[in-house]
Amino acid sequence: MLNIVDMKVFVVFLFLMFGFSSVAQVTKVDNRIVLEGKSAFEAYACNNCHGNKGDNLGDFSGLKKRFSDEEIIRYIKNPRLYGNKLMPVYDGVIPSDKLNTLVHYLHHLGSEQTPKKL
Amino acid sequence: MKNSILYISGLSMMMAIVITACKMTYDAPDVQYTANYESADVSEGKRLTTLVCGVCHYDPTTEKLTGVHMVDIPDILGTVISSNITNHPEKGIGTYTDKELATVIRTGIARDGRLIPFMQRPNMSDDDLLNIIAYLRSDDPMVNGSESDPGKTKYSRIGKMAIGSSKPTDWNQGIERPDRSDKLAFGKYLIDNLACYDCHSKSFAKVDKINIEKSKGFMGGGNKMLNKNGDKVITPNLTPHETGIAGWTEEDFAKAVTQGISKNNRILAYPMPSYADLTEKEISAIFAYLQSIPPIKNAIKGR
Ligand code: HEC
Ligand code: HEC
Repeated sequence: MLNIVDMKVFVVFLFLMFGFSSVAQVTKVDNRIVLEGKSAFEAYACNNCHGNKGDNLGDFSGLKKRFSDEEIIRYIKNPRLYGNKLMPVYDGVIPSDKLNTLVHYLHHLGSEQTPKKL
Repeated sequence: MKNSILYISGLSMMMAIVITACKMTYDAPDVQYTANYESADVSEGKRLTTLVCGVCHYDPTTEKLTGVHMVDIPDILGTVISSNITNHPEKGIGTYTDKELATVIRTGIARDGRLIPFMQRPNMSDDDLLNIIAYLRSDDPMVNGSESDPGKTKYSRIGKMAIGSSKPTDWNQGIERPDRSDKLAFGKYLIDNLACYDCHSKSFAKVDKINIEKSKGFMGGGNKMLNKNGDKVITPNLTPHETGIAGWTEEDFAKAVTQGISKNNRILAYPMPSYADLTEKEISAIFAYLQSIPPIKNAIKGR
């Protein structure tokens, strides 16, 4: 018969096992999306102006506060609507699944940035 | 004895070459200029300033002409930083006179005498020059005085030699912009004024700023530049050759120049500027002129 201490150890063990595997699961999915985002960020030459870490221009760390995801997509498709004359007009160039991946990746980059004072 | 004289004269000759090759400052040229603000068109000035000066001086983070580190210039030349040209009295150009501004734009000589060869526009028309100056004096947000300090240019030894081998251009006055309906002349004027030829010819060192068509490999591409990640980018060939833009439609061309999307959806990025403010007429004139110049065979990798 297991005594109380053993039970505790067992529960903690189970908990840890479960916890680790679910964390591992999440990081795996996250990693894949991040990798896909990174390749889209490069394929569409975003990194050419924004830098590989996205910290060259603008501020991705505050993105969530200022724009909904739909709006970010609208922005990428036609930055001229927002007074941005420098970015390419990506409408019809980036397919919609890739746009979603990009938005995800921008948030990822933003989470690793310290907010800039504009 | 003879040997040492030879040696000394050789040495002094070399020094003379080095000294002349590194001449970087000039006396203020004799310029008579007064800006007649009454006939200026400030909104046209804003458009022109965005197109002509914004390419180098606009900082997207301040949304003003506060200057930036020009990373497309290889580090081997040093650190080149475009100035804050908002009308702030200390950090900007608030105390530049109209004459000093006109001088730096047309001849490349700044008011402290240093030569800034990147921005020489010896053939800019009187009207365009006036409109730009009038706009720089306005209180528009893009030029409204800002304290932002982008830092100072610091040339390397090689950079100094490169500047030293550049020359100021002569001051001319009474220059008229070609009639907008004369497509070829107007197109050429725009390629000059917007400095497309500077990047899209063989090399910055071999362009002719007075007679742009005499630049080596005129519009044939091949100039090596850097993007924001420090990777090499070679400028494409824009002559009417199959390795250039033969077979392009005017729509293809307009999309590339104003929207940054080239043929076959290739994305154009820094250092190719985005010329969102060009009018259809201007694009059409530039395109027509490019169709008329001698084709150059120069296949550029990656396009
Ligand atoms: C190709 C890039 C480029 C373009 C285009 C350009 N500039 Fe500049 N400009 C520079 C750089 C780089 C410097 C600083 C050079 C240095 O520090 O020696 C500069 C300096 C200046 C200065 C000198 C300020 C001072 O500190 O004395 C003025 C004035 C100026 N620019 C105005 C203009 C105007 C007006 C236009 C448009 C008609 C323009 N520039 C277009 C790159 C450019
Ligand atoms: C500061 C340098 C610079 C200036 C000024 C410049 N360009 Fe470019 N241009 C480039 C570079 C670099 C590329 C290649 C960009 C890339 O591949 O991402 C390019 C690409 C292009 C392309 C696409 C060609 C192709 O084969 O895909 C066109 C068209 C073009 N430029 C037209 C112009 C016109 C017209 C002007 C003047 C109004 C101009 N450029 C001014 C550097 C410049």
